[in-house]
Amino acid sequence: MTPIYNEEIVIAKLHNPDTARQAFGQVVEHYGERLYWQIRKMVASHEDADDLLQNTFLKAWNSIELFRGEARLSTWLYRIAVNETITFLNRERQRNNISVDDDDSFLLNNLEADEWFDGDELQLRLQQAIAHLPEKQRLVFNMRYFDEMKYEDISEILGTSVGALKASYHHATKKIEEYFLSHD
Amino acid sequence: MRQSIEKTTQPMKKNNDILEQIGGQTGYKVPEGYFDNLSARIVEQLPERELPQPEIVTTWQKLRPYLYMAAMFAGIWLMVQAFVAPAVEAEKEMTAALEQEEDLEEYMLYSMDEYTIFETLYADTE
Repeated sequence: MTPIYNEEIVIAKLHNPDTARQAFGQVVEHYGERLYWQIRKMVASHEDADDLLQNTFLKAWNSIELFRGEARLSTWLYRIAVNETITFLNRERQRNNISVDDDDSFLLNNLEADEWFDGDELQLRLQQAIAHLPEKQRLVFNMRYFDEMKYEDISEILGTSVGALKASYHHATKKIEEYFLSHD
Repeated sequence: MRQSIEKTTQPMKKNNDILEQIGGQTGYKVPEGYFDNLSARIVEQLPERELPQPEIVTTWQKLRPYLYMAAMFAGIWLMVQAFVAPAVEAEKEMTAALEQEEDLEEYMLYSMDEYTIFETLYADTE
């Protein structure tokens, strides 16, 4: 039976060499799925999301002693995941000779044929519309629309004010609406 | 699959019909059982690490700042006792002495020169 997750206890165990590994397993168990989806929505490919998730946890494990509880564990892990994702996207853009000003629709080139995508026409078009958004707006849109995260939580992760996030989300939905209208 | 991360208490207002129609579904899926063994698979791949032992705080380390502070206050109190208190005491004694008329006259006579005493006596007789 999986033990009940108590963040305070888990953090205390993470800082004890004798219990750190077991406690980290609990952290992965607790946050793994939501971090996976956060990454997946940014990179589209399951294989890339899986690799990035492992890198995220590897980085967290290698720097666990730096986590001192100033932020919540979830915020800290999200930040690592977002950084990993952004680094990956930059590398992919470079590999595909795509400028930072261009959109990331190249990520969805074969989405219809992807065995790990079974969305309908609308869902496919939404993913294409999202891929046309600037990176930051995409992050905000995903966190807010799909995950229904509070603006305050997003603000802690991305280090952006709540006001700016609201504006960003508003612009994102407008652009998505425009994309649907122009691609009818 | 829709995720349930720290849901807001109020339902989110969707800005357009399309987003409402899609209802937060991504269309992405994962291989069957992917999340079942995710934790075990990730933990298995983590390298062994020599984490620093947690710092054990002794009673002396806990008490030290309070003892330093107490010693500082004791030092200040001693300095007050050594320098300030005697001066205040002397001033009190002087004030008390001056309040008694006889002592005051004696003090005045003692501190006056002869010329001033005669001048005062002469003025009194006039």
